[in-house]
Amino acid sequence: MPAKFWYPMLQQKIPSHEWHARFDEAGAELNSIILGQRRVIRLILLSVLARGHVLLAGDVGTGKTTLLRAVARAIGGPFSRIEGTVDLLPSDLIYDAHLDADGRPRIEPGPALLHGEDLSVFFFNEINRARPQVHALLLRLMAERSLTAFRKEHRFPHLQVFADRNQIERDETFELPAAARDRFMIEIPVLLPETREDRTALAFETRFHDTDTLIAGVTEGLLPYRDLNALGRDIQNNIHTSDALQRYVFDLCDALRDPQGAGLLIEQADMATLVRGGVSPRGMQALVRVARAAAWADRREAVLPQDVRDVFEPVMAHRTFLGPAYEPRRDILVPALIRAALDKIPVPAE
Amino acid sequence: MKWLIAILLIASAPALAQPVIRAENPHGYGWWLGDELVQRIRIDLPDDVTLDRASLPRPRAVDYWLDLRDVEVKDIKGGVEVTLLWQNFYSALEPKLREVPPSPLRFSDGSEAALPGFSFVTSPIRPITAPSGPDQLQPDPPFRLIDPGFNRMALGGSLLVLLGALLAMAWHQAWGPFRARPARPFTRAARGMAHMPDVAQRRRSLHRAFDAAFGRVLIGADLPDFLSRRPEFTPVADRLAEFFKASDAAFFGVGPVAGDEPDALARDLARIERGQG
Repeated sequence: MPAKFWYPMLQQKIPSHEWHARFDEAGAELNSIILGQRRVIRLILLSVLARGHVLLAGDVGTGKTTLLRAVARAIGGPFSRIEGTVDLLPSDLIYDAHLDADGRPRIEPGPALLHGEDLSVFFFNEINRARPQVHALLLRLMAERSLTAFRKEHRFPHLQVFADRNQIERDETFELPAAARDRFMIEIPVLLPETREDRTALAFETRFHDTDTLIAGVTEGLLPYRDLNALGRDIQNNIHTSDALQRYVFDLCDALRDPQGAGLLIEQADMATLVRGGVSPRGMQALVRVARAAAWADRREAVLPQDVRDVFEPVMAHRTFLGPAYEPRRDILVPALIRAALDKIPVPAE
Repeated sequence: MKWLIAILLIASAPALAQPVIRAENPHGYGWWLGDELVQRIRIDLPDDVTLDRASLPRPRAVDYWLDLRDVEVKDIKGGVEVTLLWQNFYSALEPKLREVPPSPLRFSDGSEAALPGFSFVTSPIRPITAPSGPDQLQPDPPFRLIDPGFNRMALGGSLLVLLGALLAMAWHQAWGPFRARPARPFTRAARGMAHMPDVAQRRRSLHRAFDAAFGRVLIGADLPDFLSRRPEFTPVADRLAEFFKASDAAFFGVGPVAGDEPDALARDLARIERGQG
């Protein structure tokens, strides 16, 4: 581990240009160990900059856990993970009840508390297998970044939650309620790598067989987690959003709420009844935060429409709720609706 | 005696099968010059025999004084009824008997018969010695003009409907003036921009033209996609990139706006669009 990247103890402010270099380096390193997921990695890094929680939607075995462990290493903070099951209780997140060597029952901190208040990445696997009570606790952890346990309030200022939804089984799953989905800043689809070369390499190259050594290839603490909140604040305060851009963001979000009023047309859907619940103010805020992070990542001082477009679908797709007749086809209709909005809403508008 | 009756019945059997012709002739007296005489003749036919209509007399001038005006045949129960309309043109100097000749008929079984003739007495209209003069002519009967107003209006209305239908069809089939012209968003924008005092407004107008030419909203990042779809604009690719860069700076940026006014670019794009590049 090169010492020059290990700053957290020094509490020294990293200058802006160095942050850019570190960000690019983190992207390059992650891309070198996770093949064919360039866009996923970019979105995850943007969410790190925007300090938002992430919902991962992906197939089995596409390397989500490896990716998150690698991101956690790049951030340098503790990583904790829990598997969602139908009998998981809220307290299982906080406490670990077991018998000690003397056969006496013991209560110790569970996954959420295990690493103390430095916890930076919390991965909730198969979140829709857990019951709503667990969701409720997680939502508080996400919204307030705090927990009450052992008669004490624990704060997690650096926490970023990643959750993965199992999309194949329907049995014994509890779909996340709208309020819960809205708290995730973005939803990132993790699909199979597209090219044949990437997929063959993942199967045949031996370095991909051992996850631990693979992850060790990422420089630890490249984006020191203790400084990320300050960086996120800087980005949000300093990246300019003009009136024309604000208008564009408003028009896009409004079009998703009221596609008929915006004159959108998509096949095999009645635009008057298609959308039941659209973008919340929190959703719009998330869009602005991620778009600012994208502009910063491209070394720009102002957000351009292309930044908004780049992140519009991952930020908005999971917050758009369709009418009951259309919900079963949301995999087709939501992307079509978003594409229609991007194709139709003019920028810069009058 | 019984034998005789039997023989008579057998002998008369073919005679019963013959068509029977009964004529209802016009009365024999009191006809003048120009009168029409109607003769009705009823022919009873056996079941399997029909009248050969080609053998009926055709309407014609039968003689210098007699016209056959009309022949009408009507099927009735058990036969046909023939109505002959004759007209008398015999200018009689004294009451005189005229003979209307019979005419031959043929039936489908080959047998023949005749439509009976008849005779009538026709008389002069006025004394033969009375002087003739123009004042004896009767005045013309009063006439009424038919009002053509409604018909003319109906004709006009129909013509209008026809014209409308033709226009609608031409529009639907994209004929003549309705033939789809290629949309020329840049030409329209270049024209409109001449009247816009505000440079931001002119830029926006050009942006809308790009959107129309691209088929969806075009932002700077889509420029390579746009050029691959509309390769005719490749020669001005650098100026397009410059325009989008300047536009990004003007609408979204913080720094000063660099780059030219968009008018010249719009005019050049319009020229390329019209194929004069």
